Amino acid sequence: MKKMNSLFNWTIIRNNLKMYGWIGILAYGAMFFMVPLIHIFAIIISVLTAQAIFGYMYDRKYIDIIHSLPIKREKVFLNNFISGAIILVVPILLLGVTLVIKENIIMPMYSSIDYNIYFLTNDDILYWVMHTAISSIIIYTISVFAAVITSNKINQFLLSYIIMFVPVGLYICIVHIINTFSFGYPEIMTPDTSVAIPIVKAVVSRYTDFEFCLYILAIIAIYTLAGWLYKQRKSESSNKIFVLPWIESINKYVVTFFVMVILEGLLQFDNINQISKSEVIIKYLVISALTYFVVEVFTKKGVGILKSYKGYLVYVGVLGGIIFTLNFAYSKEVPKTDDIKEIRISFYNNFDTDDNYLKNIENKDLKDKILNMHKAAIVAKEDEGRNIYINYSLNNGRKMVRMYNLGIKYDQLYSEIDEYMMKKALNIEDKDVNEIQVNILGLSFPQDVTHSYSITKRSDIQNAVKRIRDYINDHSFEKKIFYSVEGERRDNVVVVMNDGQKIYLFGPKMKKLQHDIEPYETIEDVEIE
Amino acid sequence: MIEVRGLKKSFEKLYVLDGLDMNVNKGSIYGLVGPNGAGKTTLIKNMVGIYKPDAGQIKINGEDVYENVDIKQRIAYMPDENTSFKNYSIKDMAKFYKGIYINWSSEKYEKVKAVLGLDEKIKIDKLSKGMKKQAMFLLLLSTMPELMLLDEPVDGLDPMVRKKIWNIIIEDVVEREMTVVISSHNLRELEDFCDTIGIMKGKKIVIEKELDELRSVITKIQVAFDNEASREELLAKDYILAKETKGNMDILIVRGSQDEIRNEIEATKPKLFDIMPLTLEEIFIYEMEEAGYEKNELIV
Repeated sequence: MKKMNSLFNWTIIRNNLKMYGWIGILAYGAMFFMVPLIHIFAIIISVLTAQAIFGYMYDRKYIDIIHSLPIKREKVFLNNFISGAIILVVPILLLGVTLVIKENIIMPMYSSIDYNIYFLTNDDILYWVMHTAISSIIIYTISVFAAVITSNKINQFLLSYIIMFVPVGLYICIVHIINTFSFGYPEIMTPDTSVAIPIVKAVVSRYTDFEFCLYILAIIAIYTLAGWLYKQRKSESSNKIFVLPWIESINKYVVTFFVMVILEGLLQFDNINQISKSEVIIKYLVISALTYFVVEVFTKKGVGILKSYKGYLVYVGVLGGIIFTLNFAYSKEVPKTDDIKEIRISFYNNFDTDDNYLKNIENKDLKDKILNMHKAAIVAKEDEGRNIYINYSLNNGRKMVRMYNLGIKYDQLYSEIDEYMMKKALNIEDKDVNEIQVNILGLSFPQDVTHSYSITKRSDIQNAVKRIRDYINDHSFEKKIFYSVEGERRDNVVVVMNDGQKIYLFGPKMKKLQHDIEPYETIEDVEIE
Repeated sequence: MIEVRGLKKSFEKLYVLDGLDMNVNKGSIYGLVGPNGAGKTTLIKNMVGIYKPDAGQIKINGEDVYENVDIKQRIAYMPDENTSFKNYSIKDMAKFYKGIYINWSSEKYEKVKAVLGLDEKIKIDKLSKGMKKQAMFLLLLSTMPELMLLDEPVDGLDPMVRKKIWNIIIEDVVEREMTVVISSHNLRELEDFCDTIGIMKGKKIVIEKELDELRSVITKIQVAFDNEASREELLAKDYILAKETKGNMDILIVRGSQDEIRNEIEATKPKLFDIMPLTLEEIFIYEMEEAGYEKNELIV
């Protein structure tokens, strides 16, 4: 308790609640009457609360009082932070309790028997409370961070929202640059970046447990950073947008980078495949130079702008280095045979899951063929044709992934791999098989797996492997048996090996094979999903 | 009590304080004088731990003050702009201070409140300037500080209020040996109460003197001679800081104790000789002139 007391200063908290507690009361009232709009409301209230609690930093009179008090700055920050969190979370908890009472005690008294159908369960309410509380707190924490780095309330309000988009924006711009200047970069199926934008997450989608944990960690991290900055922040801070010079510098570079990439992208009238890299570089130089010095004019208010040309040279140097690396080192890299521990390839996408990759290509010839294909692809620079993803694990622990389009020229390799896999399927030993999955599609559209089961019994597996071998022998000339996840949404048979590798079989007369390998007892016990 | 050594503080690379030294003795009332913009407020804010010095030291009871909770518990600071939280009454502020300052004395609060005749339920924002200052003094004194740092607390107040405030400050100085640092751009505001004066000029304290000492070393005299030779002889003395002639009368500012001067001059048998009172302001003007500053560069 003594330790708690040394950490918390109830006078500060009580004082904040006395001055700004009305925000919480208002929030409770508003949420009670506008439950559907609650998340939008939380987004605004969180920022306003941060502004109310930390607004004293912008008023010389108040910050002087606060910092003349015998309380350390980190404790001032902590207790102010807690005050805001209380103002935000208590109404949400109260509303949660109100809803529980309403749904469990009041509604049953007045409504007809089947009220259950459309009212909230206690789990729904608990989830709602957690979702709203975590969303509010993360936005509040970001807004406190914004408050600490800037010097007035308007900036703080705007920055609170802008900052939330910076990480995703940077990610998109960096991927864009990589795509422009590199050859062989695996196009990532756009990952769900909404988790990095709390206000989107707060309104639109449900949180997974993982995202809950992620947000709690993010809150702790941003709080720690903001608290550290609060101590660095000088009471006498000027009216600049950013009170700490090095944050001003970061801002300068980030803005220059954003404007450069986005404006260049907007100025691209040609087909993206035909852009000339040198043209892009010239546009980058012109736009970034203009942006950099305009930002300098705004932030430095005209003092010593020309002196900052060195900073711009650093920017150009770093950007040049990155473009050079992407264009040459990255795009031309092929690992040496001896350095490779494992190659995996996929014709589908590069999500790094076992399902998508053809693993463990041990065959020496095939390995060399893939390396040759890799080298040829770098020279040929094909834009069209099937994708191939090559995923190397090197002996030094590094992972290297490249994606190329296989033009007609590489059909050869494709069929060789095909053949190799068929051979592999042909040579399946039943002792290597862990499980066989059978997926049967219904006739309705869109087609979906309507009936599936697994074969796990040893005797059944033995029978099935024999039938599969016969099936492949019958159809191998047709080259229509595939082994990638493209088989996922078809009638298929999936052989799961002991090492986890999956071989997908699909092709003509698949229904017959499925019928042939079906163990007797499952026929009665059809499971409809 | 307070030792400041080589203090430097800049804003946006512009130095406001540059190598400032200062000494304040325990139980003294230290008057900090300088024109507007001389850096008085900046110095005080450094002393109370609002600003962090760029360089140099501020020791209070031998300890650095910045982020030092123990020391700050014993300091009461009154900013030049009056401050309380929005919509707070005197009572609300008292409750707040009571939660913050471990030495808060409710007894003292009640006593001073009665002396000043303040209504604690009134919102501080609504008080007149003089009343606000009184309310602040009530709150600050109730924290039972060892050191009060007052930034222009009496400037612009009417004489009655000023006297009332001085009385309550002095009471604590006498009773508890409280130390006071008080700033003003006007020397006249301070001369009746301070025992030490520091004058700020050019980012430093240029003169720091105890008043008793000052008063005894600079004297203004009025003298007239029948004998021109005696006059010439006197005017040539190097202890004369300044002279002015009106008709056949000379008005001289001289350095040295009054007794010595009297003996020396009376020995020359002047036709007329008078020792005249010197205002503190005049003393400082001559001190500053002697230190190499122009007359019009000084205060007021």
